[in-house]
Amino acid sequence: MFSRFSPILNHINQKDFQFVYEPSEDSFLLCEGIEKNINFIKEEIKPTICLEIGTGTGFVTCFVNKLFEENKVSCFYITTDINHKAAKIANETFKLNCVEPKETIITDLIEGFESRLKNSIDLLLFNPPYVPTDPSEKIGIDPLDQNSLLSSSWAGGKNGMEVTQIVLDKLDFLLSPNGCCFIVALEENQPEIIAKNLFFKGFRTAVVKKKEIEDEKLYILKIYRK
Amino acid sequence: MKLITHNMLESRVKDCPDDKRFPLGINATKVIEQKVVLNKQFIINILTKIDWEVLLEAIKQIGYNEKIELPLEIPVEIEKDDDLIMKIHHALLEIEIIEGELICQGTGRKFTIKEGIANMLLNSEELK
Repeated sequence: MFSRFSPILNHINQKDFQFVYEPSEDSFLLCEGIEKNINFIKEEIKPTICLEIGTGTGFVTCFVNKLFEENKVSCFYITTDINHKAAKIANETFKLNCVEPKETIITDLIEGFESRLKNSIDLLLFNPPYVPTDPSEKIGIDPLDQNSLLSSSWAGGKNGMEVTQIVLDKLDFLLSPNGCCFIVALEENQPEIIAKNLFFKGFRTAVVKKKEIEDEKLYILKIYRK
Repeated sequence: MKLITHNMLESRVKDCPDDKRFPLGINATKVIEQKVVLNKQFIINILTKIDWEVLLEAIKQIGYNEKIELPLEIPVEIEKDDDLIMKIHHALLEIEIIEGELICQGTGRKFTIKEGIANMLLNSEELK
């Protein structure tokens, strides 16, 4: 177990991980980055709505819920996944770990929520598909291809940024005035360029965690309004 | 799916007129009630984001309007009315639509709710 806030995942079989992303070093690092910022979240953000995009097994939101409960932070947890198998597993994870109030929706990123959640998201969590992939490789889900369920969790297109960029472009619209986003990035995603672009849109970016695992250099970025 | 979420969802179908995107209609075939710990401040905070009329209509659509009686408007001094806050908490967070569908009021497109999870995915032809 990686932390005392780690959720119970006994309901998930090894074969489920053929279709759903298994919590890995990037998920754990994202959790560590959030835990490190608990005082900032508690005092500066005071979250009412926490949205995790692409929740997979639900690991991160579950962790955050346990961390928040201990710190007397209570909010509504919305999670989305484009993969229906992931959404189902995540919902079971939340039930098993008593995460409430929560909601799991099958959708592409935040399709369906956007207008009504304008400037309402206090905490946005995203471990995106960040692996650079060849233009010939599809990103997202192909309904006719079972393998795309898992590949949608990592295939990120050009510079691994195609999906991440869609979300970053919506940050100004989505985040509440005190809102903050925690996101996983890879060296190849060029975090310093991400930060520079966000600066011109009115955001500050801080690297809250950094770790080299095998041949991947992972970053956890905290993005908030200037 | 909780009624708080219904209050936040809209149809993204390309052919839907903008004024018909929100709210989605509800056809619920299985609804359950389950305890969620009350957090008064959360309810007060979230009320600023809730479309009250849409919530009342949603309660009616799932057939709970006799079980949960809410006023037509949110009282100004809501903070002092613990009984009403409890009712709002119940309506927003404790009622779960387990099976059913959400219906786009502009196009009739149905979004399935299965095992408590709404599927809002559209195919590429339906997207804006």
